[in-house]
Amino acid sequence: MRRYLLTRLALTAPLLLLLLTATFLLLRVAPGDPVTATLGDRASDARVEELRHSLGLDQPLWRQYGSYVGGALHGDFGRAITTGTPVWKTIRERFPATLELTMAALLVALSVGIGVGAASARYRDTPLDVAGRVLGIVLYAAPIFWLGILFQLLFSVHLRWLPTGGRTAAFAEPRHLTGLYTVDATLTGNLHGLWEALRHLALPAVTLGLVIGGVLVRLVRVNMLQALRSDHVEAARARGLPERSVVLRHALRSALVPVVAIVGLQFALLLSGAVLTEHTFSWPGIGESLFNFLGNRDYTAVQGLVTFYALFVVAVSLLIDIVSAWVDPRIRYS
Amino acid sequence: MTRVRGPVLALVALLLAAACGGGGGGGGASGGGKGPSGSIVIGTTESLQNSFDPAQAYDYLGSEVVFNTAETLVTYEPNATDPSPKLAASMPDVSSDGLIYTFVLRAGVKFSDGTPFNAAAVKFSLERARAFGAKDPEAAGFLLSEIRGIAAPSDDKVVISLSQPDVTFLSRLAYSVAGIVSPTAYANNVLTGGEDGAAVTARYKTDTIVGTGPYRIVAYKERESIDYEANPNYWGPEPKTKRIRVRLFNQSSALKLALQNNEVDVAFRSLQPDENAFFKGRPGFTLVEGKGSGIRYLVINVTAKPWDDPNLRRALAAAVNRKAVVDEVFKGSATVLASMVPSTFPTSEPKWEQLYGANAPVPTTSTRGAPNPSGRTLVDKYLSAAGKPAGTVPVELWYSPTHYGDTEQAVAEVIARTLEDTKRFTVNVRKVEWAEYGKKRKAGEMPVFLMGWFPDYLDPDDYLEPFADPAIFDPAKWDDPKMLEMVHTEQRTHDPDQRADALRAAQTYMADQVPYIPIFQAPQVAATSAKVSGVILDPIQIFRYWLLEKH
Repeated sequence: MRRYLLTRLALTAPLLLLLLTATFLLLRVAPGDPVTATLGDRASDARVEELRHSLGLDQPLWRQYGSYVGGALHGDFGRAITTGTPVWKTIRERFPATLELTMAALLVALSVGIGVGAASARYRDTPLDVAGRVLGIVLYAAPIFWLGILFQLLFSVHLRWLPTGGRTAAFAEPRHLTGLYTVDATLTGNLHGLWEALRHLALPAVTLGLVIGGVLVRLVRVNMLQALRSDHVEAARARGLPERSVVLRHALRSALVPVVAIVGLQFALLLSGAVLTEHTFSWPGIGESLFNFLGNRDYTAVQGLVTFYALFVVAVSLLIDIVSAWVDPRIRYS
Repeated sequence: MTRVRGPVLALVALLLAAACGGGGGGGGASGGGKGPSGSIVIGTTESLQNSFDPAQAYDYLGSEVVFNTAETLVTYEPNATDPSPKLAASMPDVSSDGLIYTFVLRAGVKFSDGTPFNAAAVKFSLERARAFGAKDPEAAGFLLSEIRGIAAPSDDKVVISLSQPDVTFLSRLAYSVAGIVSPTAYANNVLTGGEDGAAVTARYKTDTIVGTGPYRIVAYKERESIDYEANPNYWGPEPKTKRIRVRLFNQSSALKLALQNNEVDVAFRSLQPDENAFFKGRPGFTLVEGKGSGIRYLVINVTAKPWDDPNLRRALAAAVNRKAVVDEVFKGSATVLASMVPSTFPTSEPKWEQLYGANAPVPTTSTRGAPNPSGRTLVDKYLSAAGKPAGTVPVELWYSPTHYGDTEQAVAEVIARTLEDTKRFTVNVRKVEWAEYGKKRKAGEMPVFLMGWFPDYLDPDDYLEPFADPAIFDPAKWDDPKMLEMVHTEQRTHDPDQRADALRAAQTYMADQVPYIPIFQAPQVAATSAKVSGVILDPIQIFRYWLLEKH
């Protein structure tokens, strides 16, 4: 286990470096200039040069790269070029919103993926199975912004059940404790705040969760089919256990082991999906910030946020790999 | 399973109770009590470029924050075209040479932090903004560069002396850059003289403002929202609504849905024309329209070959069909612009229409002859004068797809089509994102391109000087000393009639040289819930929150 852990950690370092390098280079290849975006259209050439110099953008690329990687290693992401705000401040203020959204979406994804996948497998080759499979494919193929707009039109504009965007109603923010509105509202006993937070969370979480859930539907179904044919499930049936117990306690449990590992991979997809979801629902998370900073070619902010994303995804993946290896010894021996 | 059902059901019941009971959300103006009440949510797609600091704010949203939280010595009352006193008790005494302005200040005014407003605060604020302007040309402080000295001989008297006469000075004093701030709150936010570059920008007070205005800022979340509350120390009439939230949207479609779903009460700057049209006449909503002062125009880089030939530029001006842009893209909601100075001003001279419009007289070789209704003949004549009697002239027309809204591509395409309709131009329409657009403009890489202008102060001068003075803007790289002298003349002319003549002469000269082709003027439009009243959209472009009320 220890060796596995060390190997896994050792692989993380080059992965991060590769990502930092790709982010750095892609931003500089893209057209546009953060200095122009910062100073506006009427800045004098002298002022533009001065800012370029103060930001180190007039340095050779390798030197810029060195100072970027050096800063990242020390946890210093610098200040956003276009707003002057420290990148860590943006992360601190906005990460709770992204975390709340992704966790809620993960819940939706797991509920839909496991529920529909298991039902499809249990009722294999029935209309229910066909419907489940089609749903899985459609959800996986649906672009997030399209699904989001569809839900906005249906549930907000036509039915008027839910808000179109934002984290909560105006002036209904709960007292700040963790930054997770649902948690803060619960901890402070603010029922109105909790209600508004949940109402606002519903559509973005369902949109993002369904898209990710589409992947899980197929995965759970396949694993479940294998599990239902396995010896231990047959043995359970032979012992005369009720079918419900056989499916839920024996087949589903063993079918979920590989799902745990896949969820780790899906978490990266979830975070990248969160960028589009946040944009569609005006959800004030890191993804929404990233979208804006990208538009302004704010090198420092984009690099900082992407690095943070990468660290977060790597940490979660590592955690899930360790959990998987702990649960299933075959992983660490392979 | 049954063990968790109980608490879950209890939570659902409580949430339902919360849902039915409502609570402290963004309700309308209700309840009696003393002082303003209720709240209003304003949605906008504007974003804050710099800060709330009057010395730095030079974008629409930054100025709007200043106008609602701080005040100036003089201001424009709704729909007025001349400034009137605000923090000044009366209009100033102006010396006969136009160099000395003496203001008597209003008594009993306090800043939102409770400190008193007086002549020292005026001197502090204006000197501070001017000092920033000298070090940071991108900030709005340059608008006060003509101030030579400020004296505060007593608590209620301020004397401002100028380095040269400028009839636009009072208009400049009404702009947000001249917002008076609390010297106590800004004591550490002044330049001490030695700063340069980033050290200058570090001295601004960026995320809050302490002024004498009807509102004060209570919370700001970057790119998310700005919360205002009625200033308890306000000296004037109480604002109609206690709390205002400005919600910042990243796209107009999201803003439209939010208004449609009653999540915002006002959508202002900017829904697209079709989105605004959606709310027109729709039950439960109101569309408020007002004259705008922003203009849209084509820039011709006069240093780029072959556009250094005025006759070629004139041919282009004659070929552009402004009305087609207004009718096809804006469905008639915008106004054809016939001069760089919009028709809001009595001194606007529609020279571009007179010289290059459908009814413009046809030039012979270099002078003009009999009227001719056909724009094409006019184009032919100017092209002949430019040495191109036959064939087509290639035009590279640039635009930026998002900065001026989603209609920009359509604007560029209609202009391109109308140019090609003359059979004398072939147009290559090209686009680039805003971040790159500015770079290309400065490098002179775009021969013909679309731009927009929103004035700093309400005076025709602000539509002429920036386009003639390379030190300020001059995107056409025109740099014409004759034009600059004409601008300086109108700035120094106090007699209204003589100044009007000078302004018209400057427009006439600009139209003759055609470094710019005015295209259209978009109106200001706010879509609101029918419950909201008090939205006033006038050319000065101050969105006055304190007049908003929700019934």
